[in-house]
Amino acid sequence: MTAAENTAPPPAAAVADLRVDFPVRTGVLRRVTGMTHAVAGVSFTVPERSIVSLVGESGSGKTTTGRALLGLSPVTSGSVRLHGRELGELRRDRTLPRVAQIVYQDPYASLNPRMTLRTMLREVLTVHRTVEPGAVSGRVAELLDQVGLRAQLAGRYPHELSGGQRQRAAIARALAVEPRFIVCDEIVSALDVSIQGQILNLIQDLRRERDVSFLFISHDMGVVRHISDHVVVMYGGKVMESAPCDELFAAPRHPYTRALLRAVPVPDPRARPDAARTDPEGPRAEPPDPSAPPPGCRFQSSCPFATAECREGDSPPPAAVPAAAGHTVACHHHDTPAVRAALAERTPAP
Amino acid sequence: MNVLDVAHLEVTHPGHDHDSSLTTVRDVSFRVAAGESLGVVGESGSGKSQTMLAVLGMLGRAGATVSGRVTFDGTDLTALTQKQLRGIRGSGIGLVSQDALSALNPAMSIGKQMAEPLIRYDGHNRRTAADRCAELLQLVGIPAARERLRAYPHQLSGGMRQRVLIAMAISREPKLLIADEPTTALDVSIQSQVLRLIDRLRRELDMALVLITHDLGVVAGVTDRIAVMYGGMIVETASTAELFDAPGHPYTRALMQSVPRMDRKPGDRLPAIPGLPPHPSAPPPGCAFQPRCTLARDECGDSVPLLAEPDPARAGHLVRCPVTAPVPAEGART
Amino acid sequence: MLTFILRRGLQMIPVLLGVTVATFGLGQIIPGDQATALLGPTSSEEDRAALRADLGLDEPAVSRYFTYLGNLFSGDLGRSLSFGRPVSEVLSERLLNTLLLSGTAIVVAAVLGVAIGTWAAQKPGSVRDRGLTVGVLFLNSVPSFWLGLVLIVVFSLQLRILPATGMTSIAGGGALDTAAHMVLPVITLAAWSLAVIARMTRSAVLEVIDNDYVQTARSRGIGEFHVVVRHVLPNAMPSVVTVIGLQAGFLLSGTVLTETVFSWPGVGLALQQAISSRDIPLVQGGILVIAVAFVLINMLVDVAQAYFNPKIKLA
Repeated sequence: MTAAENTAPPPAAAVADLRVDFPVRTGVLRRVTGMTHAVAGVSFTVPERSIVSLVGESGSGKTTTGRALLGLSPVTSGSVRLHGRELGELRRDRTLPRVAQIVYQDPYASLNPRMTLRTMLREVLTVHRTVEPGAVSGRVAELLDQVGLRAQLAGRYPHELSGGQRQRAAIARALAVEPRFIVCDEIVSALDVSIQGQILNLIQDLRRERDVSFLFISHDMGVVRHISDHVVVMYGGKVMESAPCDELFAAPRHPYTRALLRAVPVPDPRARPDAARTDPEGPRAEPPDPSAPPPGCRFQSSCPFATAECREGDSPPPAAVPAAAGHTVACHHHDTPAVRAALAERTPAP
Repeated sequence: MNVLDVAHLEVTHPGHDHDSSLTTVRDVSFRVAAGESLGVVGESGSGKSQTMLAVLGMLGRAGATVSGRVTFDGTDLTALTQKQLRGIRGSGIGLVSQDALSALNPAMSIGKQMAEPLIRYDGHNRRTAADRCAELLQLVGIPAARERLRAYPHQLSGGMRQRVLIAMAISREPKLLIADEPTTALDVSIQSQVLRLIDRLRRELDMALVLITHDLGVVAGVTDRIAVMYGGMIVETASTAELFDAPGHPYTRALMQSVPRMDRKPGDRLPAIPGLPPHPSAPPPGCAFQPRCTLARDECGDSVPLLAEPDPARAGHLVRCPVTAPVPAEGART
Repeated sequence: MLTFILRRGLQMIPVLLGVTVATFGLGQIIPGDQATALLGPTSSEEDRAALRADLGLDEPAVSRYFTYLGNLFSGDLGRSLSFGRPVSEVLSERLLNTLLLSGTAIVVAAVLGVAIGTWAAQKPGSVRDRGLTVGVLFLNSVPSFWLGLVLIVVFSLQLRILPATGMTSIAGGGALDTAAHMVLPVITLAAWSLAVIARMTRSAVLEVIDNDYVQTARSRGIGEFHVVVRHVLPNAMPSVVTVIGLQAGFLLSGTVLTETVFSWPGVGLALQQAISSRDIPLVQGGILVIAVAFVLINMLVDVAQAYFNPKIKLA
């Protein structure tokens, strides 16, 4: 990476109007008859040394977006820049792995079952030549120490480790190439609650001590609230709202964000589902078919505030929320007084 | 009256070697009154699911030994044959399991799966069974229920599948519904709907409910009482309000603090519980939580503490910890 | 489902073309000269050259292939040199006999194999399960022609309860007579496949039997027999069907040996005779028939797979 001139350092990740389409094949000849727009024009940035969360339900496109940042989903259009360099360029000169890494939800599936931790880490270190051959063993020990794994575990195979230890091992492998940006795809979802906290603390330590930036993909709003600096809310392949973490939880401006936050069960018996939480219990409308989204806003069919305006034209563009730096919301009604009042009233206070 | 009364339940699996064995449930006792809802909270390996499989008599295939007494509706289930137990399963006790995609037969339509026991054991014919199934799907909030009967599991969304599974569990009007992590595999927005559905059905159909989960948020809203399990044992049990107000066991307290919450402003670091939960093949001596406990004393490793009622003023709040809940001179209960 | 069958049918075309290239090529590389085989070693070089020209053997291979392919499309497989009749005629009357034998064998192997495999999987590690393992090992290590000969020695020559060879008695007889003639060749043919299918079924059932949906069925009070028949087997079937299909293919080629041992008047016996008498058109025809049957069986397997998998069935 070239040293920055007088300007501020580029963000760890800058995504602009990212689109990812997957072909839909049907019929006898398996011809491509349509496109699934998994990610339909998404923009956000991950500033250096920050943790940005990408939240949304299954089908929202959050995982596809995260994978696209590492060239693991086919980018149809738009730009992805990591630490100031284009994704395509990073892939061509094969420096991508040293700039960005990904850690998955299921470390068991992403670790080679026939390799001990030591073999696995040595391999990564040798392939990427991040350290002198003589220093490999020392670096392995250092990596294990960094992720809080005892040195005795180096000789273990993945199946001999607990779920939390495996996730630490996967993080150690990502760290081995000293990337400055890591995409975490639901990395604590499969872990026990008492282990979750340990991994979340590890992520924060890495950010603080090693200047790593993170894109943290999660569906757990409690975890997101705890760990993020900034939150990007996705629905149906689009960004609905993007705001600094405190701001988003304190004053969500998009009806979808509100619905998402209100749905989270709060560990407090006094918050029983009663008059204050009167979402219909019946199934909400399914998210729109990503291969044929309706005109207008993606959330229209489930939105209590939707009007004719929401059902036509393009989906609402993200608009800056006045007097709130870094807060954008893609809703025609985010400034309608009635909607604002409704949102404010029904949001559980932090 | 108690619908379910479990006393001193113990489950032991044969280990991989002949001389080793895994005790996954240790001296578990609890009761569920008619119409009551009990939350069982614990992490994986805490024995919560094993306890419920033992209640249903479904651990025999795995070669496990079950001891203790399980009384359902006045009948001692441990004395029944497999055939007699089958008469209780489904019709007396309904089970909703975690992952609806894997819990539904992928090769059979929804309608066929739902109707199977109705036709085989409850005297329905195909037509009346189909009517009943459509009615059930409607009851769990699935629109266009008739058409859905022909669908296969993969054609439904995750939330729909979970609703189907619930409909199946209540199809024979059980007195007790056991829901094992019914919302874990679902999207957040669907989770709360399914939870409220279960809560409503319990009231409408006058069932008792045992809700097994790892998520304190899930049990907070819909249960009357909570039992917290750790290392195969119940470490604390209390009314839901009482447990959240005054958690007694160090594990319960640590659990509440270590879960990041949306309604709390984050501190810098989570007070995470250090170490790992015990493995059933090598339980620590004494209290199961003692190696990870910040309050542990020397005697915690000596013997397994009793589940005691520390404060007579708080009847029914039992804690298995001699440090935070010393056994009072009299009235100790197990 | 129809789309699936159509698509699968289209995929067969290149495979079948490949088969014709292979059988044609086989005719070219089999050692020995057809003209010599027909006219005898004492014939003159001129006579043989004339016959080659007559049979079109002196043209380039590519043009002969297309002639061959064209003939195939009109149902002409050439003339058998040893029978002096069209190959299609010789094969069609024998094909039925072969299908009767191998069809019965695969049905026996599949039904018994699935039943035994499922039964053993009910109690893994039990006496019956270990018995299955030993039985499989035994059946798979016995060569089929040897098994056939042993069966003939025991049941025909010693006990004299079953006929050893042929398809009907000399005096003639009805279906029962044919059935009696089939017993030994069917056992011989089915033994190996039965073992393989039983072993595969056992592991497929074991993989499914503790799945969540099987537990769901049990938790609803459904009896173990129905649980196995309705919930376990249909989901274990895809891998079992694949093996049954493979075995059906092997059985078909296995008929060459078994029909020879039992003098069963089928394609296999004709093929064996054709090979020893250098009757190249008949060899080509026989192999083509078996290869086409193989391809068809594979297609059937895929269709059966789709039947057990609603994701494909409904696509």
